[in-house]
Amino acid sequence: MSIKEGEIVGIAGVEGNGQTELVEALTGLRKASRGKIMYLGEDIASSTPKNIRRKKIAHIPEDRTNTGLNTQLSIWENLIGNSYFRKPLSSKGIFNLKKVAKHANKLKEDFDIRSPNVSLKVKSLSGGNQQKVVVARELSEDPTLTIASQPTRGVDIGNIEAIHEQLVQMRDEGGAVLLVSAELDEVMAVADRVGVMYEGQIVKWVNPKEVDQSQMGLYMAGVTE
Amino acid sequence: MDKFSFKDVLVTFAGLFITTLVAWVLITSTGNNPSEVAKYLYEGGFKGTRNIANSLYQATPLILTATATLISFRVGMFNIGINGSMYVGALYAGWAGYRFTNLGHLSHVTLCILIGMTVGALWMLLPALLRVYAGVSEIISTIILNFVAVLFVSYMANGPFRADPIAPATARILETAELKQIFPNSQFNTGFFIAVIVAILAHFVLNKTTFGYELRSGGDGLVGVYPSRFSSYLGIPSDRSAIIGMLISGALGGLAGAIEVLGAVRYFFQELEFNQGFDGILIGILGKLEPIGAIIASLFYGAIKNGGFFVDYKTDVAREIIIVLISILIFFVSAQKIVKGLEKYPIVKKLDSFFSRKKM
Repeated sequence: MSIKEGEIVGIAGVEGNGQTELVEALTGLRKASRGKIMYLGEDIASSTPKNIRRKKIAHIPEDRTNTGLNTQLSIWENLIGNSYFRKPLSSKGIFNLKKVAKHANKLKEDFDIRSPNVSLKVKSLSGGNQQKVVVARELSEDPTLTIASQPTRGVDIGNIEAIHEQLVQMRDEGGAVLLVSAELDEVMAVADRVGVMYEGQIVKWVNPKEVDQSQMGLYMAGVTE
Repeated sequence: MDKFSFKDVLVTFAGLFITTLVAWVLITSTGNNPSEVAKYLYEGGFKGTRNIANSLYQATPLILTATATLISFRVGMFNIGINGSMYVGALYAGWAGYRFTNLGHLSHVTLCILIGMTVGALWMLLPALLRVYAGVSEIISTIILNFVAVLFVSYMANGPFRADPIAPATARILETAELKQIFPNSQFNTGFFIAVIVAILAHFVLNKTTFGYELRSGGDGLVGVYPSRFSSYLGIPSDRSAIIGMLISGALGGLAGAIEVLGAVRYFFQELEFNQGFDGILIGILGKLEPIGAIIASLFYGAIKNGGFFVDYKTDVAREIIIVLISILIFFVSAQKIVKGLEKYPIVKKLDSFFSRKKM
């Protein structure tokens, strides 16, 4: 499979067919047993999450409360997870808390995180707002590639729309997006190209505008004519 | 950022009030006069230079053990072995105190303290490595190491380090290794200032540096969450954070022991007994896992602990009553449902939002 700039590639499939493992391998959270992952001409298959992040690959994980966030930390502490180490947020290892506050409040406004202030603990937010914290952090660093895994799970309708818009906006600005979701409607509506995953393999590439739901259902069950 | 809100203060005072009531009942039922006990408790804790100095002396190791415990909690490790670090730190600081001669005052004290901290940190290395590389719960290993530490120092004081032919004790530390006692008739010593500076430093490192952020990314709550998926997801090595956190924690425990020997006891003997490592857990929780909170809670605890000695001396009430009272207080202060219950009163909500206006 491949992803080019300016497109959203969707991965559809019944859960448990290897989507989680695919995303973990791409983001360095799991070692790929074999094969290569070429990113801008470089093999990142055995790279660490840190190095992959530094290459401007963003990751919205499917497990929000344990992986995507530390719910014990405050909103601002979660928002700076991918940018705390560099200027202007910190210099020589010491935080510039004014700049941090400015950065966090800007993300809170831009991504419409509903909270009285950014000092509250993330665990006090609703599921949808927690997800917005994850999305805000991941998209704040202008990623070249965004890997979004179940980005709207447990999120209410209004916020689902907002997250979809943000992914589409990433694409329109020239970024590449990989959208992995168990929600067939979501993949079909947002993606430009959809790969159907079955038992760890991509069995079929389809154009979401040309196939209907029942056909997709057959593909997802492993029927490829 | 600021974890202290008006609600917390209110709960603390409500806890104090309930504790007082329970104490009243307890003391009356044992046939003593509660108002007399209260008077001596106050006098012993706060009245006169000597009592105040002694209260501060009692608070000194508590500040360090509480800070040590809360650091481990905030990196996601549940370390309850600070008492063990304190023992070995005290033993080796005492050893360095008589072993190295011909040193200046400052260099000798510094050397003793550094040795005490290093030994205290090394004591925590084993549980940290066992947790990270073998998956052994640090709660279990640190509890066990507390017992090992007591037996180990007792063996050392009785065997290799024994200097006194009559009692199992090491030689007295040299004068160059002493932390100076400032007030007459009080064991208060300059170690108190070291403890406060270290706690303030810990506050700065934990809350204001990227290093502290990396340490905390895998924890920051009362419940240890190592290994943290959040840390590895961000590319922060959570194994390294956990080990470093445990080492810092152990070093501060060793420092508490070193100050106790260099500043007050002046030699190490077999029966020397520490329990500040355990008190530190309660104080760290009482201080809301913040070093500054730990200083305040330690000063409070130190004062009533010293008051307890005075009560013990003046009345029939045993000083253990203080431990009972503190336990009741912690019990109420940490009861989260009480905090939640208070939220339904509009006045509390209003005052809370007024006092906890955030800068961010």
